[in-house]
Amino acid sequence: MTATLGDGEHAEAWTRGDEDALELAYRRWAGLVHGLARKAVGPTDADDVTQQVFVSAWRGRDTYDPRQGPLGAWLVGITRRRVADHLRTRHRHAEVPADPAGLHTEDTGTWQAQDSEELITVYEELERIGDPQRRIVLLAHVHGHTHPEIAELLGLPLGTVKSHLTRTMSRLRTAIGEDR
Amino acid sequence: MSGDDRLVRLLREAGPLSSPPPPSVWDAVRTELGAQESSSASAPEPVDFAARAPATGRSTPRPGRPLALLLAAAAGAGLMYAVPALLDRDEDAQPQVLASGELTQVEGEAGLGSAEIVEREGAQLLVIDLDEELDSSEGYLEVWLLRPDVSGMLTLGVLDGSHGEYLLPPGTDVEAYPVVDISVERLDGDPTHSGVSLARGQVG
Repeated sequence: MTATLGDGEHAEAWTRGDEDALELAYRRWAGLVHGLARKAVGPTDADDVTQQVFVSAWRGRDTYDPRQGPLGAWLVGITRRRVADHLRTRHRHAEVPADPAGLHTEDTGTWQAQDSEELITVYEELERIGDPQRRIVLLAHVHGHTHPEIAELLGLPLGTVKSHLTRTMSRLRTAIGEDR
Repeated sequence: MSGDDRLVRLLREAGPLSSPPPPSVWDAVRTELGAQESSSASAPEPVDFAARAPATGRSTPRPGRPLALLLAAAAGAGLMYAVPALLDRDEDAQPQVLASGELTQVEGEAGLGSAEIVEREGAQLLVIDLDEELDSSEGYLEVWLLRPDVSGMLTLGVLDGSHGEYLLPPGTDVEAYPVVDISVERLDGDPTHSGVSLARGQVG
């Protein structure tokens, strides 16, 4: 039995300033924020960026409008901005050794700055779309499960899994401008 | 990987993004907000955020705070994003052991350690404890739950060292996937099981 997390309740408590809402948000999304930050700014600075995301999110909690999307998507948007702030500051202070992109990323060589930007966009969109579509995409393309395995894990008909996957991947491609 | 579009490659290369920050990050968030909140004119009652009592734990919901119930459920509900260890965990709280089994060599019967399914604050975890580290010289060790006839499998993550704890995806039926398997994998970007198992055990 998967519990629904009461997104409406969480959002309401968030804008009300209930500090439980911040702790809940941290539990739900700190792993994602930190993971995205690692990819974008590297492991050394990911902790700082994660802290800045949650501090600025809480300070600006009044600016969150539930009608514009789920809290998780809003937090990933903030992550994008704090990452950009961090990279601008780092560039300005010339802390980075000679590197064509001027960026220190976790996996040098194959992973580029554009990859991090698009990854953030993808995960923001996944948060916006929500479950079960989000879980289906992650189970298929991050964890390498087959469609029948996903159907079994989530207790959904196989056809539903396939159609969710097709539609959601299409929507994600549009989000990163790959819809040709 | 020819034929895979950019989106698929992006998701696969980034891999699981569940990256729990060290506890110091949460501490820093609280500290920074604590100083802010106590000087804020907008809050009717200044909230001393930095002093949120760590000892209250999460085993009992605080009355009049419905979100506390969600907090208890959150550990298991955020698939692949959840920060597995509770932030202010009551260190004395004993996790409830739901099932356990011995891990043995796949080739031969030598005991290698134990596997346990525990419930901790509303979430199920698989806890691996090996007597000695396994040899992963060719790559890395990955932990799986398998169906008895190996017709299906769940990957839980990488084993680093002799101890590992893995949050089970919410809704996982351990009786359907009762076999714990530790395989040695190559860094080849192929998420499927290599077929080379070093240890197995039954927990369902």
